[in-house]
Amino acid sequence: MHPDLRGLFQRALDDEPWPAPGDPVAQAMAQGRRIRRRRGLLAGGSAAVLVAAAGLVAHLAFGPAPAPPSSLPQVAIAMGPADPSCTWPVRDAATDVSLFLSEEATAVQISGLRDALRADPGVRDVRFESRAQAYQRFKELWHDDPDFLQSVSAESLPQSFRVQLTQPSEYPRFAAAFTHRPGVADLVGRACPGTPR
Amino acid sequence: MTSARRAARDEQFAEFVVAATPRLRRTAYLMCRDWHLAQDLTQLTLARMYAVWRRIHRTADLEAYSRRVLMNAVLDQRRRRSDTEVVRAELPERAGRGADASAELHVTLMAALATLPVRDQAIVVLRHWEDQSVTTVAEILGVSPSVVKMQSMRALGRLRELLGEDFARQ
Repeated sequence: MHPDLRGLFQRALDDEPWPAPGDPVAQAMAQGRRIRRRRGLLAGGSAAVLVAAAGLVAHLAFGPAPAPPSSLPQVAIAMGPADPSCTWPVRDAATDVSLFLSEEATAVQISGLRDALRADPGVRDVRFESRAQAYQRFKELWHDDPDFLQSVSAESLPQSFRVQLTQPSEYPRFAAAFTHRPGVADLVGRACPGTPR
Repeated sequence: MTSARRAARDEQFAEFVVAATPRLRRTAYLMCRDWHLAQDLTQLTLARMYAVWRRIHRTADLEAYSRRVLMNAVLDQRRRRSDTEVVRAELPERAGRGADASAELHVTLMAALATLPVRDQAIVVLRHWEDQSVTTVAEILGVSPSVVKMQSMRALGRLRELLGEDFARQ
């Protein structure tokens, strides 16, 4: 329809530089694995989570790890089946929150936390996720990567509370109230359009 | 077995990267007028495709899929940038006045393109550089074909207006 336009575009492209050095395939693969991981698996936030995540990245970027890690204490498996429309971690307004429990959390701390969550006016729903449940989800997310699955055991995944908030605007107050409670290792907010379920 | 299949998929991805990169980068450049950014957007497009490669690698039309991913990356980038920048609404200079105006017409075209709304830019580039049909462009941008037709006409009219006589005569 407009061959003249095409010709002009062609001339605009005349100064195309040589591609940057490096292996674009390897770069795209490494970055693609990070994207997949962010979407489906990990939620970062605390330094501990990031350290564990760095281990995962190393694994993901370079294939099977030479020695499987004995534990990934703060590997925070994210938030339910991968939903690309959700974003995390968020700071201001979250529809859902995951409270990852520390390794040393005691039964008393956990039940106290559960009571406090249920009593909180900003909370619509609370669900506890055990290590076994976390591992189950983990296996579903990574069923196509047996090597990686093998390097992670149920014991290395944290227990967590999965919390739904009544209002996204509740999140800052909620986070401030629960981040430093005994037994809480990390707290990650997620914003999903279209919740509640 | 599984890892052999994965190796074959990765091999296929590598071939796709080699085949698609020049095209993606040029289209990205026409959208952003910056080769560095074009390279980054291309890389991001390929990474996003690799992230879901297992699901899409048998898709009949990976090229069409890559155009959609690239345009989304461009639109995302633009949305983020527009928070901090004011879009230049007018051309600094009109072409067709200097002696070598026709030699620089492509420069003027790129500047004129930059003044259009970003979706109109995408429509012009996809239709007149990538040579995609109205229907395909509509699918890539997630709008109806009649919107593409209407905005395409509007965009070309605006370009003609900005480029002046030289463009109309060509």
